[in-house]
Amino acid sequence: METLGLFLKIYGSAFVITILALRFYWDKVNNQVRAIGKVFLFLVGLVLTYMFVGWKITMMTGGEKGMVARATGVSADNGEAIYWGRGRCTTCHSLGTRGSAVRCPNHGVQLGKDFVTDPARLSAMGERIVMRAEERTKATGEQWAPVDYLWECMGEPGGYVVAGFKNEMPYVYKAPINLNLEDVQSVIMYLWAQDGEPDINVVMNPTGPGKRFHDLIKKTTEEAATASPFITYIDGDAEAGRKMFFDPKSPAPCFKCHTHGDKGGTVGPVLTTVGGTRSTEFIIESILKPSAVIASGFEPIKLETVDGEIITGVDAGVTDTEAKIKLSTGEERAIPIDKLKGGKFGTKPKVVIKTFNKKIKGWFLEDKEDSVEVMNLKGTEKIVIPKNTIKSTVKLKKKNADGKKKVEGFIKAEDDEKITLVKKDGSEIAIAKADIKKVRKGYRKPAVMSIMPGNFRDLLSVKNLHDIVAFLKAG
Amino acid sequence: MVSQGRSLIRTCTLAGMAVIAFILALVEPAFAAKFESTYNQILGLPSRKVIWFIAQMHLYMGSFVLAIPMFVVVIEYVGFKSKSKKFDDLAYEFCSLLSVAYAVTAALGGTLAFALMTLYPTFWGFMSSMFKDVMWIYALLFFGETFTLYIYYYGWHAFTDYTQMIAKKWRMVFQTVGWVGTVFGFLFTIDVKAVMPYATLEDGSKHYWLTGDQPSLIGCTILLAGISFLLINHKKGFHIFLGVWLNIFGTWIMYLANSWASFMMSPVGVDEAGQITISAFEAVINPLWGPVAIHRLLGNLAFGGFVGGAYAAVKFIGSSSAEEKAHYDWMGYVSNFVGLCGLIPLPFAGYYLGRQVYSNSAVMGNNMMGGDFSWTFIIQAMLVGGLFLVSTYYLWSGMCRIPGSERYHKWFKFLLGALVISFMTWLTPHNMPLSGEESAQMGGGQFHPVLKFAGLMPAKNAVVNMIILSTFFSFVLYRRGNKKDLVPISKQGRAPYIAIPIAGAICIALVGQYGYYLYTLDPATLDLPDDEMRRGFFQMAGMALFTNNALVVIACILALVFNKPVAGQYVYLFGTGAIVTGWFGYEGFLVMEKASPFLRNVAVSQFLELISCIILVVTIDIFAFKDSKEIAPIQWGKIPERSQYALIALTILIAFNMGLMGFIRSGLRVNWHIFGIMEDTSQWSFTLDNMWLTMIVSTAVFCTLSIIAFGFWLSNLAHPAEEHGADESPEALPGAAVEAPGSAAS
Repeated sequence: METLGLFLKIYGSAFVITILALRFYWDKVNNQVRAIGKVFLFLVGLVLTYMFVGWKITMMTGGEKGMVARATGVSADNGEAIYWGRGRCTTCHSLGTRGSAVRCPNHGVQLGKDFVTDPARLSAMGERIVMRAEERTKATGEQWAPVDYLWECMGEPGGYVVAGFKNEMPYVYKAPINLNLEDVQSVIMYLWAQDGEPDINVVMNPTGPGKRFHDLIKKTTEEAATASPFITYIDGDAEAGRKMFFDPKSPAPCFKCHTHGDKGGTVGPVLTTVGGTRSTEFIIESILKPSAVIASGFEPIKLETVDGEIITGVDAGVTDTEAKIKLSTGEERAIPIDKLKGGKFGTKPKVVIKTFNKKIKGWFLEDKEDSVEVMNLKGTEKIVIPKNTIKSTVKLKKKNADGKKKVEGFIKAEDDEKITLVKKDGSEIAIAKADIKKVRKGYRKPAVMSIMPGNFRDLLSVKNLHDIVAFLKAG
Repeated sequence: MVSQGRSLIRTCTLAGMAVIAFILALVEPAFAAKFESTYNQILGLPSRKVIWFIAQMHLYMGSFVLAIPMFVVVIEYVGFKSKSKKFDDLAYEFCSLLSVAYAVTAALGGTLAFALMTLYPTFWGFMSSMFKDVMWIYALLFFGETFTLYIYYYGWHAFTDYTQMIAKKWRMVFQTVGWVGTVFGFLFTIDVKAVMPYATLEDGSKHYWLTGDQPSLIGCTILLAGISFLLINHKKGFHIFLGVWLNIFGTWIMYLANSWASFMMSPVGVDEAGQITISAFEAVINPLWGPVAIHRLLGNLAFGGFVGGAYAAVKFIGSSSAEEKAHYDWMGYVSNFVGLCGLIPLPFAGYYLGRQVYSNSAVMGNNMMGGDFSWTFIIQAMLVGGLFLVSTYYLWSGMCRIPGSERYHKWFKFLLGALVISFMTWLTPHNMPLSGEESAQMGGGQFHPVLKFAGLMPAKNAVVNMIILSTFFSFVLYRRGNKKDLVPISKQGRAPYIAIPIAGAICIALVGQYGYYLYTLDPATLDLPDDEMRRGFFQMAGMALFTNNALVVIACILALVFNKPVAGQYVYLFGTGAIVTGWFGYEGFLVMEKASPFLRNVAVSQFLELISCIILVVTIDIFAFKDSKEIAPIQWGKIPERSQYALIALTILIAFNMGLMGFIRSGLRVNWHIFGIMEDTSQWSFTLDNMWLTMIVSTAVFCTLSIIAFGFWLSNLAHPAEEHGADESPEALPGAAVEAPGSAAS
């Protein structure tokens, strides 16, 4: 409604301004400008009318239609909610005089002398279920109870199509409706309740022919619930991938760091069996986002010597005298500790932490519950920084009650809706995220970045990537 | 020339942006789609509305840019055949609107692509992996469109005369290519299996790739391509050739872009595990590709025509001289005529699309008029009804400038009555949002005891036919407004005796074959019980169609044998009206009750009868008033100014309607990016209400029309006001007097 007001203000202002402009400048402009002014007014008038119609109809019929949250448990009440809502049953079926759809059979009793006169549609739901069950018994040779027929309607809607109607009911337990087993059971309870007392035990544990459909729905919905949201399809050429893997001139000469079979470097993990042990998604993510998951034993390290040389590689062990590092070329180097900036602490990540009083630079040691420990850059002093002294800055969209647009303090808690800050004077303040323009945090735990190049996203074409993944999956 | 060059560079840059956007989309790894969906925001705005707004703007501009060349080339061809400079100038004036519009469309297309990439990366990753091959073709087509457009526009005056421009041997080559293309295109269009692409299956049988409407959609572009080569004789012919190719490129750009949108509604080639099992080209020809393409082609034509009309209307209102008013009045009339050509078949194309949506997914189909969008369709009914009412009003206003048309004013009250009743019926919802008290007053039901019938589909189908016929009849009256002393058909030589029977035969074939099909239809085909009652319904519909055939014969006999063409027209027109509204309207209710699947066949019957009626009545009309005397010439420019607001209203109404229908089409997917395959798990996964619909669409319309107005202004800067003569008489095109060999024959 707030947005509607904004839109109305904009269009209304345009309307009024145009009228005033035309009023004051009518004699000073030529015919074409006048014409444009008049047509502009006409346009805004129609726009406002259109918006009025949209507003009026929305007020009359209701607003946005979201996906209704799932009710849990099996009951006729839940069934009613599903029948008239998420299950979309009423777009085809009516129930007695409730609803207006005539595309598929009416599930209730049509009262009075109505448009519908077909006896099959006038009889009560219960009567018809009994009748259908008898028909199914005759047709199949099995003994069908009424509830079995309802199970069939839900599980295999084309199994029996009522005369005069088309076989067009969808599988409600598959996409796009996606009812689960409990939903289906609830709807059966609801339909049964239209003309009788439903027995929940029978609905929950069918034993007759209905069991087949119950089991089918159960299996299908369980598989759907546990399935990966989307499975990667790879149409790569494994042989082309193999060539690229071992070709030093290819955009991805993976063998320089990784071994496959009996050939390749040792900087990165061996990939001979990765196809069998890792999913396709994982392999693709590892290529495109190398830092997302770093294999154990291949943690990266970045060293800076007193001479200004920066060396990156995999941590191959740090002793009191030297730090060993495996380079991306496969070569291993040992750097004497006294040659490292920060000495033996120089193997740790460098961090900058802002407190209420000062900015502290140092080597990151540990992130504890109440404090952060860092070593000063010279490697001579361990600094313990209480977390409640770390200063973050929250910029607001509008001025708060104190007339400020910026609040500083320690972030005590954060959830989806708000951030709770402890200000320097110890007072707490909760700020809604909707009011926040920007947050600048005084401390972030250092991220661990893989030494594997992060630009394969740019270097590889889609086909290249398909080929390499196909090669790795082939093993 | 310098400014033209800059314009070309600027536009090519923008077109390039669109191309780069798609190429970047291909670089973005498709595999992102296989992870949990990622959603981003920009400036904290709701991404879905951002995409909606940009897409809507792009579609408006795109439809304008695709529509203008359609009728520009037709108008140019008319000018070429009649040697009329007036039509040639009009075509050029329309064409001059394209330059800026094309640049803005390309820029919006690039923006949309970037928006999708950045805001919906997972979804876009999947789409670009699915359509990666086709997207390259799409990008290349842009080059074709860009270069053809600019050669066509900037070369207008360079290729204006009838001077021979190619050697005889090359002309032979072009003629050969043209005839081969024409014949092949025609066979393709009518789905002759011998020319259709197919794959041989393991059992040796043939699997034809294209089905349903697809051969016609593709075939007609081949046919046009073939015909275009036949035009290459002289410079003007070559220019029209370029215009045809501009349309072919534009149409294919639209076909391909449509396929992505229709794929999202009716995906094929993705199994339940999400694996792609087909090629990009097979994904293009998904089930809703054809129906969406047909609907958009007609919608674009109507929109383009009405925008041209609005341009003329603004110029008319601002004109200070009688000559200018005459010119822009005429231009508005021609534009409105083009718009109506698109508008009249549009409801049928809409019905066909809706029917195919339903056939593809009953869940999706039912959500249209019977689900979340039922009230949105009420707004749509208001808009469509408004379109027909306003366009009819414009025709009636236009008769003020036709001396002698007073004779037909008596019809207006009846036509208005029919239109209003039909409009009201179309607006009536089946079930109303009622309070408990209101419901109790109506006997406890949700339906009004009488009005509920007006809310059902048979009533809607009946009245929409009535609306179209009323508008068509108004047009018929308009055409004969100032005619008198008709020349009897018998004194017009052989032409009417050939043309009218051919038109009649087409109508009989069109309606009769369907009548025979319905008369002999097996109820089992529609999953209906094979009983006398159902067969009776089918035969009843068949009989109605045969009756229509009989009316065709009567109309032809009245025209050709008794020299009573006007009487023949009335017999066929009123007969058709009675059948499509009365007979089929009544049968629709019976069918809905007893054999609802047959309802769609009833709708097709109504459509065929109406189209036949238009074909035959127009054909007879051409000869009935041929060479007749005029009471006085049409007094162009002497039309009330309010009629020009009708032209402007048509543009705005159709734009509202396009936005609304786009909202419905897209919203039918509810919580799915790709229906049934990729779920929308974002926070914006819900169907917005009608208030939001009107706000977003209004703003998009407002912005689009402002941009188009800006384009018009720029166009006027480039082409300062020219003197427009009120004289209707054709002026010869340069060089037209010089007989060019084969100039007209081709």
